Amino acid sequence: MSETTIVEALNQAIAEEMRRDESVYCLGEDISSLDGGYGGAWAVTKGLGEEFGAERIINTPISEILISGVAVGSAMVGMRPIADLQYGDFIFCMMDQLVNQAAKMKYMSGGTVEIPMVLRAPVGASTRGAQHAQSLEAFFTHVPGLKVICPSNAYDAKGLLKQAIRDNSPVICFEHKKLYGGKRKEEGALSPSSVIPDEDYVIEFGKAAVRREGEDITIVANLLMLHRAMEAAEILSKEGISCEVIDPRTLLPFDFETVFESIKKTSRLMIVHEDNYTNGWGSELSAKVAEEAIYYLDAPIKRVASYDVPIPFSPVMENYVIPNVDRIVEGARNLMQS
Amino acid sequence: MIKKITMPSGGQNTDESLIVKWHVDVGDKINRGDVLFDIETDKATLEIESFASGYLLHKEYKEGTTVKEGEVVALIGDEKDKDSLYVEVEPSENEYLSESDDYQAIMLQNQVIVEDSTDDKEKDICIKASPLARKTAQDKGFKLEEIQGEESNKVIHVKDVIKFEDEIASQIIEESYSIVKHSNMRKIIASRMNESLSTSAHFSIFTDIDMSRVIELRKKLNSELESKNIKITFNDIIIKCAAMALKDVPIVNSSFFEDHIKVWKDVNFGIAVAVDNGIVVPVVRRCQERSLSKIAELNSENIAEIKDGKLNSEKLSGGTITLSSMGMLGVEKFTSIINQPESAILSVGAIEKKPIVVGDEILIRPIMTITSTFDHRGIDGAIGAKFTCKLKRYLEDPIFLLI
Repeated sequence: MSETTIVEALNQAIAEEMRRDESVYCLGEDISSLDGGYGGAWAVTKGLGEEFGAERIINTPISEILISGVAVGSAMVGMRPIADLQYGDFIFCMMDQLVNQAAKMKYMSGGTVEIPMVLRAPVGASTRGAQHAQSLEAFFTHVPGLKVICPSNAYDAKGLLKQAIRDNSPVICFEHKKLYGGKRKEEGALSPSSVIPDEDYVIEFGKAAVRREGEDITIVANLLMLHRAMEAAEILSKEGISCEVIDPRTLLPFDFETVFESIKKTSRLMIVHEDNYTNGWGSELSAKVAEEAIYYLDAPIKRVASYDVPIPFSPVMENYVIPNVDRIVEGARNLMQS
Repeated sequence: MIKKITMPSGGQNTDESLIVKWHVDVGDKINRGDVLFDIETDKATLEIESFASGYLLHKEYKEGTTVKEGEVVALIGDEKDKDSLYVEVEPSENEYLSESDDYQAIMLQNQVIVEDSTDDKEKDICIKASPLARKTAQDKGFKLEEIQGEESNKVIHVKDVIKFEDEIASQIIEESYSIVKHSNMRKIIASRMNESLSTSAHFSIFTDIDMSRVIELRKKLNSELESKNIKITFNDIIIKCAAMALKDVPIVNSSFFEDHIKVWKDVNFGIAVAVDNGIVVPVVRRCQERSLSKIAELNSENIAEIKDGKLNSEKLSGGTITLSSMGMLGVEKFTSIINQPESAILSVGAIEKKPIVVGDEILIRPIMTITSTFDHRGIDGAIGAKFTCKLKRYLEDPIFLLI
């Protein structure tokens, strides 16, 4: 048992799985320190090159299409690759391999070819401009055959990543840049460290976590927004508004039942995500609630999300576009009135 | 859409009513519940409310016209119909049938409130309510319209539904009564009783009657008449004896008018009969010339018809005197209110064994108290006394029935 940050938890998950299973290996840009790297852009693989060698911690050229191509190809022949992206935004270079190959191969081969790969993608705005800031979840929750996870704390990060490595489907793991923790110091960054047990554990996909119990409003939020929603809930509780905060943890599969059970109690739903407002993953949740649980609702669904613009480079403007605690609090107040 | 307002039923006794007064003019805006016109039936004057909202496009009949039940009396349309139609509209049965539903006007007095479910549904859809509130209201059987009340722009939430439910519950606790709306009959009874007391001058004479001989006579007669399936009641005997007494004192069988008294030649005896939520008074005509068994036959026929709800309205009018009996309810004596325009009413109590003094002896005899109530405007005390003495004499010695 020890207090652990997300970056440490991810590192432990990879190391433990690589020790357990020889077919597990990592590839990405500058992920090994053996030949000039530094453990990846976010130091998740720090020290793994030394332990596992250049054969299993592979530094690649700066070519995302190459990384995804190698990952999908090697997975097809029995390896379990963990591909590393420096910034999630570069994922668009990998779209054919991910959407046309990885997601569909099992279906097209009648179940004979599986793609047990993991792609780790840092997301979220951190004053690095429009091409290094996006939240990409909805692009991939749209694709049947993929799985999408988004851990918001260290315990989940370790448990979910281990489950992802053992899963025989392609899994995309979105990690928020401002949640890695450790010595990095982006403005507004958090270090959601957890006490992690020494023994091996995994977290099943499709099981949401109720982070705070409440009576008046159900807030569903992921990644950084989960932490802002928790902060907002604390403020709102002093105004007499009691919020139940749910972390979906995995977006595909999504645990709709936990949300339905919650709104049965609260009768109000607010969804908060850093992904764009239009067609963000909250749109699907809204639609699902409207289809299957509308009679639990006593007010319209409220979505608080990033405005539909490329993320601005100016820190002031970025802070305006990304939902902050005030916006969540204000949204909740309005929801209680509507 | 054009809605037809038809003449409602004027009650159980008639299929036509007189339009007494129009309250609205062509072109007027009509809200649901507005009084359109007054009608007069043989029993009462009634206000006819509109079931539909819109504009009055057309009146088919003028004031003073008698109209059959179900005939179209007026047409109500919306704004569009108002602009295009109301000037030259010529109502005929078929012209509007295709685009209109038959809206029956509401006759409040009869509680013939014909709810139009589609209309309510449309209204409900226009009301803003959360899905949960809508479902909760539906489950509890509330209409959103009731919950909304006056604030038509307010969104209804589930808390409003709960509040509404609590209000209803607390109203019941606080008020601890329920509302019974007046039936047509109740209104008529109320107005006629009130009218009787406010126009006539009641006084009553109580007479104790030894019923020994009547009881004996009735027993014998009924055993004789059993084969004919006729059963004579005490009421029948009282009616027969009263008819004889009225021959002696004919002015009691009369009606008082402002400058004259009408003394009726026939004794038409009304008998008050309790029915659900009211009273009806069927009349046996020409009792002065009928035999006791005929009176009994007609009375039992009337009661059977009332039970079956088939009593002809003709039998409810034309009475000249009334008998009301509560003897079978165990009432010893009571007074009644005269059924105007009659001048007298007899209130018959129960037959009970009582000690009476005959000569110097105390005897136990079956005694009945008849209270005769008269209208003092036309009948003075001495006349009333004379009538009751005669009645007592005939009942105590029914041999006079043979005369």
